[in-house]
Amino acid sequence: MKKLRIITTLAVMGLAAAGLVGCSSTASDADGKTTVNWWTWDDKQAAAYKLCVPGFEKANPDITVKITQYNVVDYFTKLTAGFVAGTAPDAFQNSVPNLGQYAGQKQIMPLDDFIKKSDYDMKKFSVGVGSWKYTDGKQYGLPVDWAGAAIYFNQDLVQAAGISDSEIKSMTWNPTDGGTFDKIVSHLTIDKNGVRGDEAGFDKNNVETYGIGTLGSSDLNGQTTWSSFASTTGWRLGGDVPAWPKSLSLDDKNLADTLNYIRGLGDRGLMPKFGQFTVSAAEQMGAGSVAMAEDGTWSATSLTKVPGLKVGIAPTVEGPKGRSMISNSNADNIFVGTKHPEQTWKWVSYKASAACQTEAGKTATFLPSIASALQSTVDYQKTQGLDISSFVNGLKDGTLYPTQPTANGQELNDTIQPMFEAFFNGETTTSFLKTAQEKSDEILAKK
Amino acid sequence: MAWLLIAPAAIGFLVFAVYPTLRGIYLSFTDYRLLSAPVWIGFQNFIDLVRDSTFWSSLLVTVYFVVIAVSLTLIASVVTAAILHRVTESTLLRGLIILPFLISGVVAATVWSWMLDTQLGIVNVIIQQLGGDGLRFLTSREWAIPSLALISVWKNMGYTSIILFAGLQAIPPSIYEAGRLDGASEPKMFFRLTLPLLRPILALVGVLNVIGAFQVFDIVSVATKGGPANASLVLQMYIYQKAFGQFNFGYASAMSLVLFVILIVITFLQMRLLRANESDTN
Amino acid sequence: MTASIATTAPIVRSARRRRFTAGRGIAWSYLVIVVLVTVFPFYWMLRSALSNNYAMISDPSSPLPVGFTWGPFLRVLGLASPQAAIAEGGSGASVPILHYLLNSVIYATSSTVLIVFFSTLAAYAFSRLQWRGREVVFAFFLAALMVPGILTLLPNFVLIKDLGLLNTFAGIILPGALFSAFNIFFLRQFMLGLSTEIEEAALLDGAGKFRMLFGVTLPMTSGPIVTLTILGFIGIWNDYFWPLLVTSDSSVAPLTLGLAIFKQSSPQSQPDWAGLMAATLVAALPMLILFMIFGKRIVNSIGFSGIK
Repeated sequence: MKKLRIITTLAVMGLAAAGLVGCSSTASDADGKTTVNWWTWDDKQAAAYKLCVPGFEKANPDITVKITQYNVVDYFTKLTAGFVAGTAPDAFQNSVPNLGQYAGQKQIMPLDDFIKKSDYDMKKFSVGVGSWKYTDGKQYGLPVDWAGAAIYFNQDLVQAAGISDSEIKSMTWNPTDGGTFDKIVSHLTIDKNGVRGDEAGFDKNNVETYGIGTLGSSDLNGQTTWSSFASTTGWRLGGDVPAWPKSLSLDDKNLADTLNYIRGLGDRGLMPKFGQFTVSAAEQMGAGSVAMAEDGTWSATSLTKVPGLKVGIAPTVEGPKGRSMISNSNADNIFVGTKHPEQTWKWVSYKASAACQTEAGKTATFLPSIASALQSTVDYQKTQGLDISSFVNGLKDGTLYPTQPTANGQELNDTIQPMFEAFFNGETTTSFLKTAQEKSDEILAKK
Repeated sequence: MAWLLIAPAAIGFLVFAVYPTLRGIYLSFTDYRLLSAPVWIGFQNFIDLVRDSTFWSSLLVTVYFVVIAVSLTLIASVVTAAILHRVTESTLLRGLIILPFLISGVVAATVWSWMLDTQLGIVNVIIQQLGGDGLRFLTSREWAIPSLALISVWKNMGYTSIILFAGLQAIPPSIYEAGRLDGASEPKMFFRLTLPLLRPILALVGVLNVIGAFQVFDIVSVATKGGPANASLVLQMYIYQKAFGQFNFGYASAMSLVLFVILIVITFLQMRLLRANESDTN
Repeated sequence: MTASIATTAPIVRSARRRRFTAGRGIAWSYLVIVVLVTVFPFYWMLRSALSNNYAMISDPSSPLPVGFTWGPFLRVLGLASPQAAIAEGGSGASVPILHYLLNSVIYATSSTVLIVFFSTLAAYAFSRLQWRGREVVFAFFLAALMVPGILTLLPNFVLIKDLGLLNTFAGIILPGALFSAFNIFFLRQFMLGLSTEIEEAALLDGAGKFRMLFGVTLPMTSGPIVTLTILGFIGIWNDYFWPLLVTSDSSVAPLTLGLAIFKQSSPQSQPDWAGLMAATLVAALPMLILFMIFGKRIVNSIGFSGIK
């Protein structure tokens, strides 16, 4: 009878429930060992840093390291929940826009005492140290990596167009006529009838292969897209201030000219429009839809592993003031509520050491900020057939400038990004930059 | 005895529904940054809300979504239920159309994101092979909400049809006999007899669909994340952005409160309009 | 006395001859289209889950899997090496599927049983018993349906934390296990429509209130109870956001969380479509299997009439 079944099931469940409350898991400090929890959103980096764990645990036999990865969409939600509940991981990877919030809310620890005590050498990081200083002047993270952009090109298509590799690697650009970049992109674009972009009869509505992958993006700094163009005019997102700008230079003629040029490429049929392609650059190039693509330096390994594709790597364009682009450094923050600050610092500092950076960096899924580690990454990748030495040059000769941390970074993103999207979608003119400027000033002025 | 029976539900209600709601309402009058104590600021959140153009546009976007999604769902469900009732009673068919209900909104949105992908999605591929231009379903302002509504209809229609079908079955066939004897045609019988008799259930289904649609979140967060350019930033998404992205929980609670009031008003109006509490079985 | 466990009213076979009219033709075409549109995405999931990411780009329209590979499923089941995964354009994460599956079963089953039971009790009190304030309290319960989830989300989260139940099964289950406005509403509507004859007969026989509830009313309500159990189970099985907040590691995380790894792993990378499709299939599979076994009963149980 149904009634009996219900009651029996309930009884069983009740007994089980009694055991359920105990079914929680705690960072078990069994057999005297401490567990340090470290989180990241990048599955490849999770795998890479796992390689450092054995070495670390050998040197610190009383510490176990547990690496957890969440996909990027959930990652920050879970961190927030962790802050509220006091169960955030001991250390976690973080990106610059969140420094203001997390430090302002006192959820992460300043590392200055640790650095002083262990006499830690901050100078070994080539870039990004400033990005992780909060307005109180304290250091909240060790910028272990950096990332910029590069131009990847399909060597077969380029050759077929009669262009040499070195021409690609030395493209010039300016907002007025687009420099040699414009000429090359036009020549590389081919419509469905085989007519090239710079030939008569080119049908911009029926393009087979675009000269360059889309350079329109919704992010605030155009890191892998227009930043490497706009920055060459001397423009900087936060003006000349290295960190914590009071105002972003959005309403700027150089930026407007750059954005117009880039959108113009789409209108002329030389570049896919925003949102037209949804797969990654690697897949676009693999399918022959684009001849060149600008993408992050971290894509180097995946772009060169696409079957049937021969990919060359070129630095970004050389503009009126030389080469320039924004670089983002991720760093690990230590949760202020961690129960094991000393051990956590041991892991974080070990992770940032030359030894671990060399080991984990080999896979080139991130680029180490420590010069020696970067060099060994380059060397290792050479043995794998990939030449990323141009990245090193970019680091050395000052092409890169670090992302400026700002207050209310997330709110800035949420408010300004839709405006960029609307622009690249063709819904507004560059006049939106004026509104963006006003809004961003408002947001930056908030507490 | 009655109190004993409703005790567990009442406890659950008080502890996990009433208390959090009251606290949520309280928070909407504060500046609450999640990690420090709430600071009372009176009506400031609501004042900011009225001036917030993004709030109004997301409300509009939500209403747009609700109108399309619910009306399409209801119409399709009524038609499907009616056909199932008159043409075939196959359990297999009914089982098949209820399939989308079994999977979560996240899964449904994921599959459809893939199928509606501008470049690789099968839908566009088919359109292009038929000679048309592909549509930018999830990445253009015109198509973002309609595409999301499509996903919602796909997910909910089968289940709604089955409920309506069951409702149709509960109608005594003698009514139709009488109608047919009077010489009424099929469509006439449908509109004059069937629909009115179905009203209570239609009302129930309609109200639930509207309430659900106003609170849509997972399919939006998976398929468009509110884009492009906030074209699909439904209210729940905006609230989520403010709460978990920007840590502005006081403001997010204020918006939720407004949504709550809207839902109460709409439900009340709907019930009144459809006279859902009465039944017509005379 | 045994009440028949009734499902829907017996289907009355129409006595009309099945003429093939244009009307019927249109109706059948409509049905065919509906079924196709409903079922096609499931097939597409399968086809994509057996394809290679790179191959899918060169041939996106092929109705059959392109570059046939078991890779995506291996990735989802945690059996693929990170290198193999990345070579196919996939995510390098690993997923202990059986563990998550078990968690989901525990979570969904206990939640569902509890909530249906408590809701039935409450619905009985609201429909069958007379007591002061009955309608008022019910109206309040009903208002809960309209409270936006997010308003109560954080207070509930903090509450569970204060109770010390974070990252436990109890913590995930508790908020939804005691009170469900929808269930109570649904059952009450149904019970209101039940004929009181049988109960009056039982009363005359001297049955006490409890005997009536469990011996008479409950069996008559079995149809909707089964319906709600199924609905509840499906809903909780697919629940994502609340478990996401409450769990801090994989020990009690349900399947929905486990498979979320296949979503984008970084802001600039693209999702592993094939792996994602395989993951969604695995996520949907338990429900689909249950459905294939119990399908007929499930479909028939969604009804409004009960006793004959």
